[in-house]
Amino acid sequence: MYVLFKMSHNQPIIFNNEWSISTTHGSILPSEGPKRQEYEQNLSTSHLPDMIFDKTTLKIIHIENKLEILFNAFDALKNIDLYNNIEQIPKVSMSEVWAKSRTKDRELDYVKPYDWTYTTRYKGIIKTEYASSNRESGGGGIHPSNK
Amino acid sequence: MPAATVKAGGEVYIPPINKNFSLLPAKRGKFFSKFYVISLKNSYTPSYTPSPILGLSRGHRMPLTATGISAFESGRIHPDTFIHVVINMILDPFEIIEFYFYLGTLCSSNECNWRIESTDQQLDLEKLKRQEPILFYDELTLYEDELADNGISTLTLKIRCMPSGFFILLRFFMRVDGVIIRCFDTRYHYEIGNSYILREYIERESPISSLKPEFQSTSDINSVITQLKINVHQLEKLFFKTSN
Repeated sequence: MYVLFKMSHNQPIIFNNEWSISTTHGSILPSEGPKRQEYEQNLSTSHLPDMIFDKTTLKIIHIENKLEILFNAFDALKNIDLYNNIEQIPKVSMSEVWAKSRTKDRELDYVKPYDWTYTTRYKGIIKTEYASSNRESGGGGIHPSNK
Repeated sequence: MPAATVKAGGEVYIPPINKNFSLLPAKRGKFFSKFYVISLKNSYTPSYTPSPILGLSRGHRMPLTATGISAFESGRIHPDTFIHVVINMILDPFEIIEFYFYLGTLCSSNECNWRIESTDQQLDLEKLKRQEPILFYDELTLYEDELADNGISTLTLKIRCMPSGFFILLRFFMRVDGVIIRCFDTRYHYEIGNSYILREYIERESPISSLKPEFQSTSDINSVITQLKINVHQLEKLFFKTSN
């Protein structure tokens, strides 16, 4: 009989002697300050969702072959196609009425449209453990991806 | 991380496992150079709660049984082997519970890699619906935005571990009120015994005006998504082993 055993909140569980599964939970990325700035710089945008749980991760590791499936907000946000397919980005229900009533308002032209719905096609990342030379274990922060 | 010391027939020292002990060594090759499978039989009061076990693990010396030591002594250990401490707790004559403390993985130079194949094999929903004990469950939110009060955009994760395997759902859900509902789901299902994980990716979306009235303003995401148009449906096997 195999029993999953979690040593503490951030400790991995070993599943069937074959997989290590760990989750980390964290608070919301602050809306300003150095952490926020770094995050925005790394993503090259300030168009980000209100609530980003940057420390929240799920990691599945195949122990023997050191293969990993990783989920985190940073990589998901990186997968948002902010500026392409602009015509496919939904508009709020009132937008047409609103735009018509402001046809003379030239300010409208100054806003570069972006995908304000934050649609991501992120599936998680599968990778080889140790693939990146500069990775730190644990922590659950931002990991470079080699999707 | 101090190395464990093992002598057959002697005692074993389980290195203290502190709260911040990380799963994998931070620097490659600078971890254990030896392999330890340590099997302990203990005479502690049977208990399902982790605390006595944790207490036992922190720098305690315990009498050692011979199990696993032969492999250690022979020195023929595959470098990919992971290192763990096994503690057998005999709760009654018919049940042995093994607790694993994962200490790290030995490195090898020939790295394996994922192999991805597309497949027609569908997720076995019946199997997933089957009543099974949940060994581990967690729900996570990666991001969320209320679209300036115009709806919702969220990316959430659920993981569930059962005796038969594990299941992950990564869901991007977005609704612009009165305009559109979009749901992109990625599911991972691993069944014990398989050499692969089945991954399903589905993109669904529909204008709200095209939905039946009862689905236009419901907050029951699971019922709404069955009404959405499927635009993308991919099935893949992610192989993590070459054999079988």
